[in-house]
Amino acid sequence: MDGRFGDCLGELERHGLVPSSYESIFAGGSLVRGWGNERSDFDVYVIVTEPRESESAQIDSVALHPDSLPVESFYADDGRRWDVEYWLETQVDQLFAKISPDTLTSIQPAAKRMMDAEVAFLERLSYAAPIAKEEWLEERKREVAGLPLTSMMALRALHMLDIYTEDVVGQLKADDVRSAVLTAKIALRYAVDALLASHGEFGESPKWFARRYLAADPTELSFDDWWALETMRSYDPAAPERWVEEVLTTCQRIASEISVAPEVTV
Amino acid sequence: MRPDAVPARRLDARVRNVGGTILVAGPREVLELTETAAFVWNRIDGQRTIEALGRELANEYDVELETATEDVAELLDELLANDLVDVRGG
Repeated sequence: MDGRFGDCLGELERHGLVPSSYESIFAGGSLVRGWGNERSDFDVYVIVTEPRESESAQIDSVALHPDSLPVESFYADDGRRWDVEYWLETQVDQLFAKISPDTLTSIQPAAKRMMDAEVAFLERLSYAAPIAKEEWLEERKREVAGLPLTSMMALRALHMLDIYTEDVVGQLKADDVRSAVLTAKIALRYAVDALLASHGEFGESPKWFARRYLAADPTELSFDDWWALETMRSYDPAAPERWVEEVLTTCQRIASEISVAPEVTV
Repeated sequence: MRPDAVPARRLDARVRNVGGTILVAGPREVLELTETAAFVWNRIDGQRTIEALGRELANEYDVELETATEDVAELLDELLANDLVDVRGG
């Protein structure tokens, strides 16, 4: 570890959270990215070859085998909460297989099977900070850099955009304009998600959208133009359908400007 | 289709840019647009007439206005048949 967060390995050992055998331990999340605040959790990943047996762990879900992910949590002396995820190395292998070039022809089903914890793992891997056994982490970073991850994530979001767009159009046709407005907001979120992913910025949580947007700085839709849409600046309560149409037109334009992998079809 | 007809892209038309090639999909088929078809598709905005689109196409690709306008109308026939556009005044 580079010392930015103190003696992480020692802290984990004091809480009995370092297994006798492991492949790597590293930190990810907003604090490592530099976006965190005093309330942010500190996210740690422990890569193991044997499943963690623990009565204190909460179990998160992944679309992998096994489908469970033990997560230990504690509060450090400084009051910060730590979340420690225990990933089997075979789960990481399965996750990487989901974004191999071979899966691009059936990209949408493959991407749909990815759950939040998996997306977060992939997102955090690129900037993860080593705590112990750095070699494993560096090798995995090199490996993921050679995979079509951004296209996969962009297509995953575009697929969701299609679904919500269809819903908006159906709601407009049925004169259910209020529902159309709310659904259009979801569609916009996925369009922007796809846009940011195509620029290498993706993540499972919308809470960092503004940060991700600024980091990606896409020319296809400036931050200010997105912010105006997101904050519904042009929304007219007397004609809400106009805002909905503006949003969907923007979403469609974004979809046409995001270049995805040539193996992929709609 | 009359030259003063105004096409608009359907909001639920699915679009992908696959390595620079534009694919558009309606409920039935996926169409792979040629470069000139994509040029027209990107300018369909519910405001421009077929004639205006033909004029822009003619200027961009240095072809006769009449030929370009016919090409636009032909493309719109295909897009209309696939529920990818609505046309006002056609």
